[in-house]
Amino acid sequence: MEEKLLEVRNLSKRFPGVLALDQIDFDLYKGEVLGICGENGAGKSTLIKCLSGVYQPSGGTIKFQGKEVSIGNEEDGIALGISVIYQELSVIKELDIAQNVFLGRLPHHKSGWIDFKKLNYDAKEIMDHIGLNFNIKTQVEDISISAQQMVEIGKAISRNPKVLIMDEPTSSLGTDDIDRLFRLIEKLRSEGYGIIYISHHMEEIFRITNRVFVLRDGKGIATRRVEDWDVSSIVHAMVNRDVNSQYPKKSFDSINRDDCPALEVKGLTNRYVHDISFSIRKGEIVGLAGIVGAGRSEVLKSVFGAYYVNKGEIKINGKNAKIRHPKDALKRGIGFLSEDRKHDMLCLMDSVRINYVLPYFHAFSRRFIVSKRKIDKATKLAIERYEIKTPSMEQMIIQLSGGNQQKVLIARVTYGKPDIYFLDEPTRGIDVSVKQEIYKEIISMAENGSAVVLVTSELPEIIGLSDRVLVMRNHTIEAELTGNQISQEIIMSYATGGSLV
Amino acid sequence: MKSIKSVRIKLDGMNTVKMFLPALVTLLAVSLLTSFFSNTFLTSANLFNVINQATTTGIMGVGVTFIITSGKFDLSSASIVCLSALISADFCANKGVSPFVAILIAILIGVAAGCLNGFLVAYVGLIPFIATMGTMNVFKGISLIYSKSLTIHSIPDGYTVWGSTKVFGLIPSGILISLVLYAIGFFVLSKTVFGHKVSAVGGNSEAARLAGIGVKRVVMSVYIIAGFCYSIAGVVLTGRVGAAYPTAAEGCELDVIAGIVIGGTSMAGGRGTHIGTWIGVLLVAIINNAINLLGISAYATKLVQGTVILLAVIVEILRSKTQSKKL
Repeated sequence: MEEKLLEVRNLSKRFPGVLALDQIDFDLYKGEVLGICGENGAGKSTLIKCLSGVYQPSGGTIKFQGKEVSIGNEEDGIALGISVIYQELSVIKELDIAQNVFLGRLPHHKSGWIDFKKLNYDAKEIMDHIGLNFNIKTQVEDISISAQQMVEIGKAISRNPKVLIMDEPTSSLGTDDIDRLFRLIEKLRSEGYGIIYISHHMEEIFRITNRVFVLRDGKGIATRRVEDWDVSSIVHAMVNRDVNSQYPKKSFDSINRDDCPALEVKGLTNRYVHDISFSIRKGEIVGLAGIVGAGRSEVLKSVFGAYYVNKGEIKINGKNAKIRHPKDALKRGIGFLSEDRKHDMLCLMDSVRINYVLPYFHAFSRRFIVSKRKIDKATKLAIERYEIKTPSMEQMIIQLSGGNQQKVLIARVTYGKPDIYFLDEPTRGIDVSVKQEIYKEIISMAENGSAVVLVTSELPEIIGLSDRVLVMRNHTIEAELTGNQISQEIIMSYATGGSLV
Repeated sequence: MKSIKSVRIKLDGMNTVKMFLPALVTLLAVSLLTSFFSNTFLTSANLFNVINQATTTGIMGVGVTFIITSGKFDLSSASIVCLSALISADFCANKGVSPFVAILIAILIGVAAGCLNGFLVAYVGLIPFIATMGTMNVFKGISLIYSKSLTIHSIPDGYTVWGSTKVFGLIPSGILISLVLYAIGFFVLSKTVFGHKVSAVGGNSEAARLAGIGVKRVVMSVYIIAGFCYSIAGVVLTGRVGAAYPTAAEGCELDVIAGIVIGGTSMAGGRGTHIGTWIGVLLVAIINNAINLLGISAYATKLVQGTVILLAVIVEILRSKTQSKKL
């Protein structure tokens, strides 16, 4: 642990309007595993991208083996000796293992023909070294996900790096595969690689790392030896910020405890989520928390009829509801706002007015003829009511800012007067003042007697707005929190699978 | 308040006009230019001739505009025109079926063929280009087998009247039929709930689905509507020519799409206009006519057509680029 491989000082990265990294300092030594922890959006990915050359830092220095370097692009990073293994596998399934390991750098004869002998020999040597004993000529699509990941690691190692960065390497692995991966990491560490290990999973952090570096809101909070951390101190460092009173409160207790629940879901299971059960009352706001990929959006979309459901019951106002298509859900009074505005919600090249009334053409028509006058009237009201900034209602929606697009969508969902709102990341990518307006809308939805299921990756939002919080992990609901159980630490520890008590 | 309202209404009208304006300007320019060099161009006989020639592609275009607006594609249009014309004309000429029933048979064939296309695209999930390339060859094959590649002559007047009569002794019936279909097409696409759904599916099919629109049913419907239009085009074509033959309308599938693109309908889907299609199809016909009248080699037709299509597409791309630059 003596030789410094990386020395990062005052590293900053500014995007338009956001300071994604704010004066980060850390070191990486030879033969250690440095864990990096942080919430969604804390800056972990940005940090990796600055180190690997995908992004150019806005300020600060990176020293590699004592020399200051600037990493202009990914090739620079690789040439220097920094290899990244991304969360998403980038193997090419049609090629064999050897060709994947040496992708883009196939050894060749002087004549230009590929030197398959050398290719297969070198690839075999690398894969033997990391402990994958498959025939090197096996097509990658025929091997398991975990083996594909080994191929990724082989690819990274074949470039002779000094620093290996692993971003959530276990996200697609089972327990046995994780054991195998960890044995490999141990081996690489003992051979003198410096390894940066990024994970949301506390048990992995404590099992494999030597030191842990915690990021929060783009700032480096602390770096300590792993023995000096415990789950609660890491979680505290990850989330400790003031949950101030920036969230509007309901003016009265709107939860209707007398009627049957507005929505009851029992044992919902499909390819995306497993055994989801929850209920929500009229006037209640339930937050659905969890790390990205835990299956929160999938729960909403599955109940909404956008995904095929294999098993499970849905009851709306106490009555069984068969929802096979989003239109069934809309008819039964569920309004849905997706996290992905552009892909799921908007006809980008169409006007504000058309995007506003998209689900309601029938309501604005008489004998199948759409009344432009009625749409115009409603749109005009919405533009005034939600203070949507647009030159006219004929403006193409793509030309509006993200916040104004979101207002159009909130207006759209609200227009249907749903009894149940599904709001997925309603404040993503919009500025603070618009966020406040959206918070107020969410509160008034509940005050008007609707049930609201709120998904957001920003913990303070969940805590500030929800009456009750469900925490998801690994595609299922892990915990239900009420009252003063609702805190960033408790949510985070359930979401990451570390136990506090 | 009032001024805001009037501005808004103007803008709304402008959106459709903007789409077909380049085509309209080109149409007028080409016409003007041709009339300088040819005395026959601006005669009513020639103009009716041009429009009459454009009726087949024109009527097809009513249906294809729906398909393109929904973000899909159809290569099999001309082969459906041919198939429905051939079989129905044969029934009428050789099997003693009354013209009225024969035309119903044509429509039935067109609708069935459209159903097959729609089923393959919407429910089987094939890429429209591939699916309709397949069905195009299937339909062509059926036409050839059925006709043994012979032409069907001596079709009764009750059938051919739909393509050959001159109403009021002046306007060919095909033109009237196409105008009626354009009026209906325009109305359905721009005013009805269904038309709005078609545009939404073309604009963003996932957003449409999550907004409760039955996307598969909409896609199925546009192919069926198109199939109907193709069969009418087939009947009109057979009437005009006075015969049905297995290579009828060959190559028209691309002329139609050329006309639609030139007319300003977005190939990406979401925005379509029948007015534009009508102008675009007419423009293609006028260019062909001009080449004839000006004595340019017929071999140059394709070259000129291709150039016009490319220009139209480039104009559309430039337009959408300037729009996104405003962001």
